[in-house]
Amino acid sequence: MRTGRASGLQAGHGRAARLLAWACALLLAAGTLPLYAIAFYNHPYYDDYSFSNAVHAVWQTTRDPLKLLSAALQSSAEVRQKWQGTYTGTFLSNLQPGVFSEGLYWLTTFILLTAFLLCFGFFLKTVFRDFLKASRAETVALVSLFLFVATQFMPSPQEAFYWFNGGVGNIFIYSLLALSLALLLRLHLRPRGAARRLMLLLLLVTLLGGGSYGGGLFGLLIFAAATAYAFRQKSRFRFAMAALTLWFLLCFLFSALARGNTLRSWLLGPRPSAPEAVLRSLYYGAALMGEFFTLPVLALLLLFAPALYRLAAQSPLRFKHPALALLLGAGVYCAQLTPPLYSAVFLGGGRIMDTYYVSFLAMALLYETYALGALARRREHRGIAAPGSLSPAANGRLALLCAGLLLLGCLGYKPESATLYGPMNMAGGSAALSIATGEAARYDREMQAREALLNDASQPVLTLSPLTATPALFMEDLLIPGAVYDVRPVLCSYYGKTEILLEGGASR
Amino acid sequence: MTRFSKVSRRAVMWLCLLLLVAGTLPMYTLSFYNHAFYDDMGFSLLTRDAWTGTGSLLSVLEAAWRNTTGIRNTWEGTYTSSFLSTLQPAVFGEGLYFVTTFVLLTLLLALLYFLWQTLRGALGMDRAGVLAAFGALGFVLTQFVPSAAEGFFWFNGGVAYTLLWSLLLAATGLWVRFVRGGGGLRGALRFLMLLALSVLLGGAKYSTALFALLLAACGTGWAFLRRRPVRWASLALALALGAGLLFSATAPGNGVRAQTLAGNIGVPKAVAEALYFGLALVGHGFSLPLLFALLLLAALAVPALSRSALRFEHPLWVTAVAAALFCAQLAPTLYTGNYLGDGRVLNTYFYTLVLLLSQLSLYWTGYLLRHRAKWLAPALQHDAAPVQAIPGGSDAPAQATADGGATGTAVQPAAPSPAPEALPALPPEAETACDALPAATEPAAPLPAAPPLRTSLLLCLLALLLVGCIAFHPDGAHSYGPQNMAGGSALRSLVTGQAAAYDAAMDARDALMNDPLLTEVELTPVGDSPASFMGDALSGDNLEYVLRLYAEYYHKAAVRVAGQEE
Repeated sequence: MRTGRASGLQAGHGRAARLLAWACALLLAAGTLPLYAIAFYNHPYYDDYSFSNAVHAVWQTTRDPLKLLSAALQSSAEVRQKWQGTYTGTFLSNLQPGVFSEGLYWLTTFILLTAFLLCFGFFLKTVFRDFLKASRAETVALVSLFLFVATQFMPSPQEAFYWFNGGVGNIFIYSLLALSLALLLRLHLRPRGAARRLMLLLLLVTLLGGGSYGGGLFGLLIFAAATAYAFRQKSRFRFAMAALTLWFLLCFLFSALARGNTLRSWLLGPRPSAPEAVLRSLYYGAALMGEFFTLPVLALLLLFAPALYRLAAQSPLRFKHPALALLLGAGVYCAQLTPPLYSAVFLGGGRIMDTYYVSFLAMALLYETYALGALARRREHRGIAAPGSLSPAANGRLALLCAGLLLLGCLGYKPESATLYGPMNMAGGSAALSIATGEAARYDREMQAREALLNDASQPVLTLSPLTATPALFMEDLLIPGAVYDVRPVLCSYYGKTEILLEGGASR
Repeated sequence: MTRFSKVSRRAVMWLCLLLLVAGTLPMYTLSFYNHAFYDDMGFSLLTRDAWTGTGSLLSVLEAAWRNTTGIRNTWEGTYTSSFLSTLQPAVFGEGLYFVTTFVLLTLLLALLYFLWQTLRGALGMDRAGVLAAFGALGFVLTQFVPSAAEGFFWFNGGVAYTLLWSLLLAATGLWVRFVRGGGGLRGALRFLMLLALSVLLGGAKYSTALFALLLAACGTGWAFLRRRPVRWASLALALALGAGLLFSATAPGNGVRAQTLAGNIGVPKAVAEALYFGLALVGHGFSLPLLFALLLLAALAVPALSRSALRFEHPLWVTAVAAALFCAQLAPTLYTGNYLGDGRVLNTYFYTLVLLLSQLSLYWTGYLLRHRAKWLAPALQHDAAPVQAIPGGSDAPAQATADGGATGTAVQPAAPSPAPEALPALPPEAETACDALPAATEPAAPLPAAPPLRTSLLLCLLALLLVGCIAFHPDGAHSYGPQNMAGGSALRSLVTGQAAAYDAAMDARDALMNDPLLTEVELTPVGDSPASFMGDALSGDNLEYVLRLYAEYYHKAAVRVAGQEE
């Protein structure tokens, strides 16, 4: 153990650190509050209906939660036979809040976004505060800024937090993965209560095994690496970890070997060979890492570099293999791209890109800590005293520089579909703008009118109009002439209609 | 292992130059398949007639003059770009259009002159370092440009923006040389050249001309503040540039043109928007290849910056001025209601961004080197060791080559110094002679050899570049990767035969159009053109105008598109 190496270093406890923590926390609050606020205007979308069709029918007729769960299980089993084996996402998709009432769909964001914030926050807190002994102020600042950058610049926030079906099978799975990794670490940090944590981990890996294939593979590789490390360190929990990993693998295989996957892959067309998919995932993994390395990410990494250096220097870890850690980390990162590339859906939809983005952010922060730790150890090895904290003035200037970089990154943010640059393209900015301009309220009114018609049992044949406004954060309206998917058959089945006509379009 | 722990600066230089050559060679090659496009013809109607009628260069120049004055009265006053646009290479032969890329791309690489004057002349950087910086910055400038087609493969678009921006760069380099140099005949010659360039820049597109004027004003202000001998000459140059811009801005044609545009938005709003979108472009322009070039430049410049007499005292002010300059160039297009302008305008913003950031990275590196004892002393303590060997020169590698490169592995870092006090101290006279550029006429003392770069650092930087190239994904691209870069795109067009097919189709069209026996011509649009080219004007949304233009340019009674009724 390398304790006391930097005794006397009390950085991270001062007024400036607390100020920074407050600033970062406020930034996070300012970014996420509009995300929650706009959720109250949201409504179910496309696959929400198709996945919860049977459950909705059961709930409408019985109002019995047990029968509802039974229907969800049955529906999942059918999907396993016909479409895909990712049982966690399939099962949870049956329980989308709109099943109980369209007016409850706001719960989607409250579940997905809150789970994301809490799980990743808990993960970072475990790593940096509980393990690396960061001060409370440092932890708050780091967690807040990380979550701000993660939520605001996500490639497709609508598919992560505003579409239950899309979010629950992807970003939610990654949230669970973060939670499970935090628990895994806590297992070693606080052996008391290990049995309870192991039970929770067992439940989590069961869910993770049935999550998305990219996320499942990613999680499985991390668990395998952690288990190997535990064996090397002769950890007392190594066999428990091995058992968890094995169970994870079995769950994953159970999901991957579902009959529906074969049918689905037949529908998706020709796919690359496994070696080609692996090579492609390496290439596109590197491409995504380059794309996600933006000014806000640079600001995040730069701002906490001195603190991470100090924390790593104080930690008991040896950080002996920075190059190997980089290769391994990059390899694991790229591995999560293999399943979608192998199944011929290229990198996957926006909801999958979201998971790549979040995992990149987390891995970049962890690797930065490792690299700085390696630097610290190298300097120690050469007999150079461990550095003290930066002077207050230097800290202030670094914070100002990072604030400037973050501001520039916000001003220069322009997703491909946007026409203008600026914070109105960020998730929170987009939500605030939609609410302020009345766009969200208008969308809500029009959707309520549409749903009133759909829920009116006296009208078996309906004519619906396209929406006149849809917030950028919500999924686009599919009831338009020439839409990518025709949602009307699903709506007919879900609401028990004979036919739904589209104003200005063909009948169905 | 120590054998490979350092990389000589010459090796870095060759690597960077190789990058630049690998990137630009396909672009030069692709140019042989290129053909004139759209406004190339509209601007050169008179000059083409003069050349085909007389074969006299003087007649062509006279026609160019007439055309420029005509445009001044009917369209816009930017006399330099109007004049140069009339001389598009296809006027003298359709097969000569490749000259476009050779002119535009090569002149952009006049960047070397600018870097030579600033890095070597003003900072005393070694030759290998300057050439390495040239390779890296040139690679970024040419490969990640927002619109390579409008920058290097379209004479009319490129000459008005890229070429004049290149002239601005050359003028800036020459001004630095002028400031450093003494008087005499050479000084007078430099002044005359600068005067000519100032007049030319005054007639550039308004974004470039305004930027040049503000730059000249800053330079002149600095010269007066520091009582430089050239201050009055600098003022004269700035005034000449300002007069040119005024002459251009007051052209009657500008009013005519303004009526065809969306309408101006007022000066205060234009300034506010310029500030906003300028900062937005800075934020949006960040990329790993740019980071690679800036970090490499900073790493290469550390020895020179450590020796430099410049004090680098005002990084925040300098950054603010640079940001203001950058934003100011956006004001003209925003004012005219043209938002940020087309790809060719965005190109010039990109060039400016890269060059301003490179200068800022030097300034900030200089600042950190000067003040690290105060801010970052413990963290940089070890890394400073090689630099400490420089000032005295006694620790310079025995096998260092004369040009600043080092052979082999002779360079050993000095023993870690325990305290920041051991950092290279500037001589008192250097401190007092703050901000003084070294005079070119002073007897040049032999520069101590600059130390090599750490291999690990170079590998990290190359990894940044590699990942940045793989991640390159401009708006509208189907996938990620170097095939989206200018050189990669050109190479792909060459290899797949796309460029050759386009060339053959356009050659056939040129043959039809140049056949004097045909008075009525029917043309077939060319669908598949290289991404680096402007494409076929017949496929655009302004077909009627294009057909009339073709008819007028080639003296045809009628030009039609095959399969379309009149």
